Amino acid sequence: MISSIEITRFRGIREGKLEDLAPLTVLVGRNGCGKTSVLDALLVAGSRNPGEAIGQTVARHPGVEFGAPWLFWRRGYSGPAEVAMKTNYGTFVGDEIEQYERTTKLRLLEAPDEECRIEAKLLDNSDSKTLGGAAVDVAFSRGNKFSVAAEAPCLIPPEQFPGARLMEGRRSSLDTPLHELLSRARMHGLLREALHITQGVLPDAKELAIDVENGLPLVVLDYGDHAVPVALCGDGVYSLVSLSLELAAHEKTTVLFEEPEVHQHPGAMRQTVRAILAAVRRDIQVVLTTHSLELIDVLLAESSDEDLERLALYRMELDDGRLISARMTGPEVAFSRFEIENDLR
Amino acid sequence: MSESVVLCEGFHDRAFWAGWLEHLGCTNLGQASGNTGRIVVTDPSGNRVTGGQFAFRSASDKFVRLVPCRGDARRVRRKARLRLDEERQRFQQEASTPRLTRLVLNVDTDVDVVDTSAKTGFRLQDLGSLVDELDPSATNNEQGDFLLFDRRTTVSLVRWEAAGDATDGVPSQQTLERLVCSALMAAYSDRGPAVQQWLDGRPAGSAPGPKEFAWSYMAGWYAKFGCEGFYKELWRDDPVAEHLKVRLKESGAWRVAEALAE
Repeated sequence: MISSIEITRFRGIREGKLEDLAPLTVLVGRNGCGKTSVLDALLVAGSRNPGEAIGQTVARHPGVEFGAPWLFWRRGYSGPAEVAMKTNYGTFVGDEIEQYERTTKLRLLEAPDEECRIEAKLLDNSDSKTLGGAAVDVAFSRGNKFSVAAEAPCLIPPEQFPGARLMEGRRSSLDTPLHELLSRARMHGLLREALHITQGVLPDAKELAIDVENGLPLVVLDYGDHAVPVALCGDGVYSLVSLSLELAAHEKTTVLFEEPEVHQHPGAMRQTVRAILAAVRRDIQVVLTTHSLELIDVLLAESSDEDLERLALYRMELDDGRLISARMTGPEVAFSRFEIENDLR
Repeated sequence: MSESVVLCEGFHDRAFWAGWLEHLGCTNLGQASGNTGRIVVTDPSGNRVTGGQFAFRSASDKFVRLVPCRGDARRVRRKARLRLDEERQRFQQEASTPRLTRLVLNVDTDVDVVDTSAKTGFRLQDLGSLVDELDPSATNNEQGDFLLFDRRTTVSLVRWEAAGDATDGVPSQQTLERLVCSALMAAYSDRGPAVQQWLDGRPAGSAPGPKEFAWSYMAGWYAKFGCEGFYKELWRDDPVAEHLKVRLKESGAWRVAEALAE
């Protein structure tokens, strides 16, 4: 689980850190307060394939032909970017699980504009001792297309930290294909749970299944007498299905959600929250951003006391590029929202 | 982005504060003139002011938030701790400006002027303990306010109190009701005995508490304003407002409200 992140000159954040991240971490704040930058930083530093993650981070922000230099604070004129991340993990020693903490530092070095190349270094320095490092070269071209020249081996074994994955509230070409997620969910024995979440909104759906069309796999919602491709469903249904499959497809990972409530009816939002809480109970860490008080209300309403203990909310702001945050525990969030009815946005 | 916050116990305290702040020249942002539709009030961060909170603009354009805490002094304390903890975190991260410049905790002490041994209520030393938890290097000014986070945030305590012995027409528990009834009695000396007589004459009535006293004045002379409106309207009754001022000055509360309103 990612327990803290420290960011220096990365995207919109000149400096700042978030500490004591919880199994379920909610980031709130005004537009432009650095929430997306934090998610990008978590993705880059937390991914098992940092080169791919850097590419994804650039490509998921369309609208600039050459987006790579903008990974850096004010386009990189003031130096390289750094993201340091602490992860906690448990390892069996005999029959006992021992808890460890490891610090991973990722350094992005600036490169020229068009054929923008970024070198990333991974330095694993527990106890300030460098255990290893590796370089990743990512080549960017027009339209933010990217290729990873040589992938660095992740220094932390997958069983200790399976890595971070990002999901957005809107459809993205960077999403993992649904059929891959469905296969993995089935492999983990969690397809029924994903279906159940979907049935909360579409009660007549009987199965989530993989069909084949022109030799290509296609995930469909099977209603018994007919089937509908999930890709053709509205954005709200699509995001609910993909979110529930994403959470069911991986074990002990960190999933980053950007505004999961986008496109969702309150009923779908409730199902989304149920899927998130179920995943957190299975030791999946979820970090999400939101502007929705409704989502927070549903989250609190669906949470048990134990769930609240796993929750932390950060109210964020940027102060001339410096990330300022105030952390509240789950019970404090509940108190503020229900007892005092404070506006948490 | 900065604001002052008053944490009071309940809706009646909120109504009293609303009338008081308006009396001191603040503008109630929820009652802007010339708008016949629904009024949406936002704070300096652009968030809507909701959840029973009131918002004011002071004479020097500062934002003042009035927060009722479900009639529970413990919630006042807990909410204060949360707000100060948020400010502590911002201070430690060297935020350039405080979000919370002034915090006022307002409570009934419920101390009985006849039997003073029974309760103490939330006292200045209790607030001191809370402040010490969050900023051990906090200091006091001459008036007894706490100055936290390198003097960026001022914390004050307002306890509803009215000096004097037990009197007909005035409840003996130190509450907002006692403060109000005491001022009413001083402004209109014939009303107190009438209220006492009516309360004493109720068939099978239990011993009257603070609310029975206050509602009797409300029903007798301010009924058209309703329960909350009564507490606000008192500030428009000049003789009563004058006697409220005397009592609030005695308890030190007047100075705190003036600082909010300036």
